[in-house]
Amino acid sequence: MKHFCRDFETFSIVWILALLFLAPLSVDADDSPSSSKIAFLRLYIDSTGFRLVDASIVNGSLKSPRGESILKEYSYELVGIDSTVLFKGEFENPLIKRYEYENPDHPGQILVKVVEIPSSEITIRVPVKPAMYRLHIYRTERASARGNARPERKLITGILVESISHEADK
Amino acid sequence: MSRVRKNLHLLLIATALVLPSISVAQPTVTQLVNNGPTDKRLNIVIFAEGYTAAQQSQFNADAVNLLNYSLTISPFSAYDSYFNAFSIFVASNESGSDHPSLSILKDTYFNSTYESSGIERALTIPPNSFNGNYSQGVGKVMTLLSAHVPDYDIIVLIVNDPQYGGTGGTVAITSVHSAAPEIVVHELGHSFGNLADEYDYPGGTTGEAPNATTQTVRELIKWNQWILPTTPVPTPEISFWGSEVGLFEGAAYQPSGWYRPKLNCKMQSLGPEFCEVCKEQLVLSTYYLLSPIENFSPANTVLTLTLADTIELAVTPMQPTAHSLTVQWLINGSPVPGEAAPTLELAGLDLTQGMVNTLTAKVSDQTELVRQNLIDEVSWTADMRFVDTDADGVLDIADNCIFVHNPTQSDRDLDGTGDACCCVGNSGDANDDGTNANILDLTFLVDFIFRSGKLPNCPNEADLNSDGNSANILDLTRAVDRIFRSGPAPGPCQ
Repeated sequence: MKHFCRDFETFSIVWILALLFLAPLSVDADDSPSSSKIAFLRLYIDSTGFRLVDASIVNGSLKSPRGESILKEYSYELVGIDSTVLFKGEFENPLIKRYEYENPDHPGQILVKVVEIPSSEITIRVPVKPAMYRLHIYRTERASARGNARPERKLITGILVESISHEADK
Repeated sequence: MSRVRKNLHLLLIATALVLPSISVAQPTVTQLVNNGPTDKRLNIVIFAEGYTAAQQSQFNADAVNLLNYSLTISPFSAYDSYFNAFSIFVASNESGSDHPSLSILKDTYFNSTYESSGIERALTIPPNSFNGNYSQGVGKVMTLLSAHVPDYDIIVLIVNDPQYGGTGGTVAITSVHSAAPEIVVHELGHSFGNLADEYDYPGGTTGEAPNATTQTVRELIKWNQWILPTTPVPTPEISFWGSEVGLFEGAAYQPSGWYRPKLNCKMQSLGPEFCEVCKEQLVLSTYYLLSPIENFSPANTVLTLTLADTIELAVTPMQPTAHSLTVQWLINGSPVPGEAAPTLELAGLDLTQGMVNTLTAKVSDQTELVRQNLIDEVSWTADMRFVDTDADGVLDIADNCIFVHNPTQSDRDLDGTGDACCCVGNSGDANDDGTNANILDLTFLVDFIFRSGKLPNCPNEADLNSDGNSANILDLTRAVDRIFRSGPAPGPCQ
């Protein structure tokens, strides 16, 4: 019986060690200081607009775009309570899928099928900042712009994100 | 037996704690290319889909091949040092991907499928026409990214299926078919370069883009700087103009009314390289996220300097693969001649007193791939308004002798230069005419000592024997000795 106990203990130790070794093996690319955090915001979109589905906060540092862009259909701004723009980004319309593929009959020729869907989700990233208050999402009518005319953008959704910075402090 | 039971409990608890994380496929994250910190590089992340655990090494090879292929394409090839690359392997239970029309359904991690929206070659992950659940496709990609490479910039997913297929979007997807990576590079043109498609597609337009316009007035065409004066605008769609940038009709899905820069380009068909305008835009997109200045020092851009100090300013430019970036230094907006090194040795004396000086390093990329300014700069300020170099309580701006501690500011001849400063080197120029210890200085001393003549402009110059007493009989004796008997030279200024 003693032998059994000892063998079982040994087996247990080996098993636990094996489990520890089996636990996630990864090289974490995030070498940024822990004070910098990124919020992954998962948004749901349908014909009525966007709403926040989920937010997760991780350590990391997000690159700030340098200069103006507004080349994609949607843009967003993270703003403070005083309307200061803290971060901005862009994304294509999540309700329009453009499937591009090579024409099987004419190698090299690209074909596309544009599919509109009633609802979708998208994940965008913003840096976590103490002053963050709202996420403004704008739509830009790129297709209507001609020549050198700058496309106009329209604010379509404002989402409160103030609580995210509080969450990050916990 | 109770000991066994206790151990068994511990074992079960430990197993329960660990197994949930390994009962689902565990990601293996590998850094394929490391060219610098993730916040200073564009980070490509390549995911595995439809690879079983036993096929991990095959995925590793596929990921490296795809990466190598993409980074040999211009303009990425000129800037491959600006990229990091990671692979994330997650094992699927089965190899391959779904082909619904053939009733081939595979149990894969990201639930990829061909035939989305009725297109045989459209290889997608949810949400798609078969499965609208974001969490079972793109959502999984995002969860892995948030955990492992949150500062990603470009996402590619390789599907382990030999049939040609792929799609673009936030996640560029490609099969392992040898020709499939070409569509990934085309998709990078969209997602990374904001480039428009240049081919026809009835029923819509993508609108103005860096490579698509309705503008036909030569001077107003956004890529006008690439069009030779001899190239007609609009440009005939014939092979004669095939190597020239012009204004070719047909772009943004429209056969007419919209124009593209070149007869053919990777944004129009698969196979050709990106045209000059698209390459330029891709380089600009790189610098939209990365500064040409990787680092600079001192990190504090507000400098504290006195006139006696020197400091080294430095910038670390990014290093493209085949050329170097240029550095120019400016002080208060004026270029510092001959200074093109990444460091600048700066003395307080180089700065202008009484004002806030601005010191700037401009780093520019003068690549032939871009015909507009690609410059970034960093500036430091040095406030020289309140500096007291000699710490005598008198700010430099008001100090009559900046480098000599002279709290009294004595200036007996009232010429604005303090007595502590009017004599430099050796004394002896009693009459202040620029020449030391000659007959005129002797005459000046005689006149001052015996005839109550004019005070020396600089009393220290008249202290020839350096005993601290200016213009007395001993100084006169020293002058006579020097002039008529080749005696010792006047002593150092006091």
